Amino acid sequence: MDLFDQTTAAKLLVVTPLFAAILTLLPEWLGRLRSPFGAGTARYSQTMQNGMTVAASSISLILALFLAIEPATGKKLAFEFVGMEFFLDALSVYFVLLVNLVALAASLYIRSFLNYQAEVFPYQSTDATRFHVIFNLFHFTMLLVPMVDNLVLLWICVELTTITSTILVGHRRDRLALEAAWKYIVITSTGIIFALLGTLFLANANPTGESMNWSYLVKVASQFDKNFVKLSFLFILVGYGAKAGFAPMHTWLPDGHGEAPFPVSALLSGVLLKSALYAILRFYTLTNLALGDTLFTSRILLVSGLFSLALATPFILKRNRFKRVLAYHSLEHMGIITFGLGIGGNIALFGALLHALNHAITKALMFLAFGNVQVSYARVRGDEEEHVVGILRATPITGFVLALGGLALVGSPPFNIFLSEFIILWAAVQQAVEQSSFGLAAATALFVLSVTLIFAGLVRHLGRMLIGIPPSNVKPETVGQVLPLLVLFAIVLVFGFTVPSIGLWDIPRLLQQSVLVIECGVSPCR
Amino acid sequence: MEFLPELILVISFFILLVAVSISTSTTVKSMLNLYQWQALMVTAIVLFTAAESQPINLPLAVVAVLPIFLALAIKPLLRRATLAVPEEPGKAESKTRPQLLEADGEGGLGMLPREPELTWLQQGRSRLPPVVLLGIGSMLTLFSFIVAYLLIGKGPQPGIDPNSVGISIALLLIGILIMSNKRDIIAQIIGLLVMEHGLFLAAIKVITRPHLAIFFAGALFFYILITLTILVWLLPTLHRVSGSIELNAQAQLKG
Repeated sequence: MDLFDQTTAAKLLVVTPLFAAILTLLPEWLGRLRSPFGAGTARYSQTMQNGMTVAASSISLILALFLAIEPATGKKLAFEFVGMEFFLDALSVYFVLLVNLVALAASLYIRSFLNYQAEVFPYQSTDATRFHVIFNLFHFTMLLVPMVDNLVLLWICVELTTITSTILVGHRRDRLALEAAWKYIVITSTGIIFALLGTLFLANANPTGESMNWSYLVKVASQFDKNFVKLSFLFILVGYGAKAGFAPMHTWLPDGHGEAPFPVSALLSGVLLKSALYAILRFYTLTNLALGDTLFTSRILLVSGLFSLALATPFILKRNRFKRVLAYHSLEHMGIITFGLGIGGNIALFGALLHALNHAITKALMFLAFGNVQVSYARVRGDEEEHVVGILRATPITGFVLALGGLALVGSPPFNIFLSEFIILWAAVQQAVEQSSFGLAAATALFVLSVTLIFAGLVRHLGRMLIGIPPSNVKPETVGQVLPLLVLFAIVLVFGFTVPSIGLWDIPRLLQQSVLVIECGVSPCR
Repeated sequence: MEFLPELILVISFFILLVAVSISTSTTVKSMLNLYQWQALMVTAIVLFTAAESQPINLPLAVVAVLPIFLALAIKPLLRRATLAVPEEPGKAESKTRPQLLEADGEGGLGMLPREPELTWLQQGRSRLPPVVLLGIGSMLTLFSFIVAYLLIGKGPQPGIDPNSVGISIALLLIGILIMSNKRDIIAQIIGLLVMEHGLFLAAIKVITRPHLAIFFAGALFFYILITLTILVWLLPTLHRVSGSIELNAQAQLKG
């Protein structure tokens, strides 16, 4: 494959959601020109905007798939575009794929969300144009995160995701949505200050030059000042950890996920948390290379992961609103990924990366499926969750997906999350035995206990809603509502059996290359 | 110009003192005034640091616009947020000031004072008494300086002043203390702004290479966007919808 084509594809990928954000402004303006009284234009404008957003997300995914062909072979792509330096290795491409996959799935539900909101919250803002513009900008900023080479630019991109996502979380503009937006922006922007200070300490740790490009820094990491590197990693973990939803900075998660529009919840949980995780991974590599071993980062990540996992458990077991329960599952799964990173070694890192993808897809599936339920039950006493019963009878396909997706989310076989959790557990047990470490064995036992308890929690929540007699005025599900869910569910199922290699896309190889990037940076280490 | 490093250090310590004073303040009004003084000092440090280098570092001097801009903008922005009239339930959109002015004579303008006062200025209640806060603030400062001296004392970084690192970390921690102690949103925003000043100092004084310092300072322009999102969009909308800036009123989401 010609690298020039890849560069062009990457540039197009960067601009696609940005153009979509600008283009979605046009239909409303054109509508005003066409009909000064505005009659009959809102529907036309919404259809156009929806088409543009879905088309942009589809093009982005196609371009991302195109990019995913080369890095699986270990090649890297570096280029300059509009004054910014971009660098794509296997790890970047893996996260780019993840962002675009979930963004496309979420974009397919914007129309149904906007219609639902207009029906259930007639007095609240239903500004479709604003929603489309910010959604595309959110997609754009999340896409930049894994593509930029410079660590300060990476920070700026993560920071921009905060602004766009805050507006989306507070989109409904009612008291609860704004409270959630407030908590979200305050916690994550406090975190982001720590992240910039961590980046700044890393800059000070480097005695060799002025570049903050990751691709340069990994080459000179062995010369870094170790104290500054350690302090830098701690600040980065607190800073980006707040954004990734690590305990104890996770408190925005249930509010943000719970009150956000359901396509946005899918993006927040599926992708935004992973963007922050991506930033942590880049610093993880630099820190390990600078210190010469993984002991320092491993211990911190292991404790952090277990803490998140343990803290999520009682909240999942407690009776709560379903979207909040799903948010606590994000805390749990980010804990599992962090635990995997803490275990270290290529098997656990492979498992952690795979878990990031599995969680993103499964969580998007769950939020979107529950969104379908909200849409169908919109006429049922103002959408109070106590009245959401009998989903399996009222909307059987959505109910079926929700039930099996729930099982997948709690790590039941034969679904994807089981596989990645099993890989992480396997690596943990292997290391505990090899090192004869009581601490690691205890950590692994705690991991197993938490995961088992969580299994019971979600089953109880789902059982309450899935079975029973549904109310009479439930709207039936449509093909457009269930088709994307079935595609996502198919991925969940296939990834439960194997990590597939499909034609030009060798996903296991892409994952292996990503693991090598995390372990060794840009130079081959094995 | 030889006196500049000493002058910068003295001002930096004053910034720290002001941060501790903000944390012990009992009204938003005094917090805002102290914050504005602190911003002025940060601006002075940025300008002096730019003047320290030969020739004068102009890009760095431009960064001085940021703290002073926020310091000048904060009161008008808060006033604007105060004017966001609480919304009646079931009403589609609350009225903006121009709409209210237009509706004068129909009872519209009567809803607003002609010379708007910051009605929130008397708030700023603390969870802890000032003496305790002073103690915690001092402990956090001490901790920050210990970390800074341990870090720089061991490392081979010529030109990095441990005092600047210590003050930066202390401002961050005191900012968090302010945010967690106060019961209203504006006090929390001021906590965030104090943290931002810590970041300014770090970008300007902790980074020793001029090119990188400007790069980091440039990143702060983007951070200001978050502050503006809060002040220009979130705060007025939140007040309009909930009619309160007390954190207790924003605690409906639980569990």
